[in-house]
Amino acid sequence: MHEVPMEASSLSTMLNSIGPVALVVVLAVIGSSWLLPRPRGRFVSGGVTAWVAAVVILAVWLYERWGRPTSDAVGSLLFVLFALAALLGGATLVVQRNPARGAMAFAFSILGVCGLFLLLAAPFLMAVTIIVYAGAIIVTFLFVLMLSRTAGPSDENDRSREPLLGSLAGFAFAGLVLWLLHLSTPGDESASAFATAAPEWKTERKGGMAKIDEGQTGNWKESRSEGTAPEATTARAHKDLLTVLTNAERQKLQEALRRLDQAGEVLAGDLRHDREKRIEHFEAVKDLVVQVVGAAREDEMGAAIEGTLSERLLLPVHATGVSMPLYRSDPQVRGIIAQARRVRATNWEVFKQIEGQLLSERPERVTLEREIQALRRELVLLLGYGEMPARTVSNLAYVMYSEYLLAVEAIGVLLLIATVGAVAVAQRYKGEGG
Amino acid sequence: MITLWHCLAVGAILFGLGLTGFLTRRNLITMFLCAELMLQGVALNFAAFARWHAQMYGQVFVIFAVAVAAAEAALALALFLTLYRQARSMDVSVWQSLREAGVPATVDPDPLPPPTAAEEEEIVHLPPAGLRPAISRKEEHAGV
Repeated sequence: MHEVPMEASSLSTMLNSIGPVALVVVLAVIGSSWLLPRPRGRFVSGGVTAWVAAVVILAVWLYERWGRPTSDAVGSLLFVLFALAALLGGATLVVQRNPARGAMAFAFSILGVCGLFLLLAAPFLMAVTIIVYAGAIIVTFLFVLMLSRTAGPSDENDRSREPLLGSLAGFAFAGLVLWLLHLSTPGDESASAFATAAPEWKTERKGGMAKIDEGQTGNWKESRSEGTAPEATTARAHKDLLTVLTNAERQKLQEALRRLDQAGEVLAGDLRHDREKRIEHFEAVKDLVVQVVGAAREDEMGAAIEGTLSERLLLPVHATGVSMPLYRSDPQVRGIIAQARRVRATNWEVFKQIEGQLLSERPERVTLEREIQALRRELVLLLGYGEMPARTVSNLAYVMYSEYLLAVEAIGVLLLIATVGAVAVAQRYKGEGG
Repeated sequence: MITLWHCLAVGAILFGLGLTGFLTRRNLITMFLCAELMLQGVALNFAAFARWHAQMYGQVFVIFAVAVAAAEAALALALFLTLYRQARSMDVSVWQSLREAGVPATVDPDPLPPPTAAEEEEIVHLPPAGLRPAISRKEEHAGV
């Protein structure tokens, strides 16, 4: 195919994107090699300046690269604060001469990481980390006081091994990871260039994903023979694929839920009057749900009506002739697709029932309410996918004591062995000096 | 909005910082804390992926990692104590005779600066504990 110019351009995009990361790494290495303790040539102010410059460039790059319009200003602010606390504490630990102050800086860093755990919906992890590391830090602190009572400068605190090469190793690693993250982010030009540079891999993925969808195998095969997709479309598709439920879909489902909750008022009074208005109300619900999950029946032309959800997560886009790779095949997506199918079936059934009831001679209020509740239940379940379970702690305990029971037991034994081992290692034998 | 990639970036930088400290510092305790810093970076990755996939498995792994870190801390501090008893120093380079064959020994070219007067004063001199007080009969009587 026409691979040569495309590969060259993707290479240049990749090289362009590595610029800021490389600059950050170089600045961090310079700062670190100035700051690390040594008898001569330590340049603290220069090192701090280099690090601050690196952090500023990194922050700007991160914002440019992954920053979105702030829909969650408080969350973003808290994230920035906690992340800065974690990184500042870690940096102080690395360059601090006094190990006792280093231990305190490490505790500060742990607090920052715990804040990030909270933001990531892991309150139990936060508690565990604080308890375990607070204990560990106090013990370490005692060790520091006990063992390092040296007068003035000492070999262990005021010298570093290979400050330049060591920092280069550490920060080059971090920079490489950042650059890989940059390349692997969906919805980016260089990322899609990366993907098109390896068409074999992509079509293989497509073939694997096609198994999920039963009826579309023919289309997948066609798209495979077509080869590469236009980059822009793939990029846009990737961006849309990021979330399992987009905001628009969420709003539509919530609007449908709101209308279902109004059913009491709509169905008030004699059911034999105002039939048109009532059916219209529920038809709006049906249309909203159809827009998201699609319809269970075909339209006049005999083609299946697909909602935005299944189009986004499962099906190839017919209109543009470009097939989107479904790159998320995790249980969450599988669950939401299954739930969407359930909603699609229920939606159709419920609307038929409601329409039939309202048009019949003697509408039964009980049947209507039962049907509405059935649809409402499925809709709430669909909305609930894509969120963390609300009771994270009990869910965590459930997973640990059901699926990972053996590992939990093994960890307990390991802790016991470590305790015994620590006593055995540290005990003083008869006749030993010290 | 904060996405998965922001958390992964913070985790990567934490790991890089810890790696730098572990490679360059010579105090055993500082090296140990830097290793814990690397563990924190990895734990952050796990928690972020757990949030992203709305599953618990990542958090389960973090709990295991914390438990292993606690076991590691117990053994490491016991080992440090033993090493300190033998060498009277927390410097890891004291033990460089254990290095690989064919690798030249590290030498410290610059002499350490002498301690300043303020640093000398900072040291707390504790009286030795647990000794029998050396009291003579005469002093005892004089005290009474």
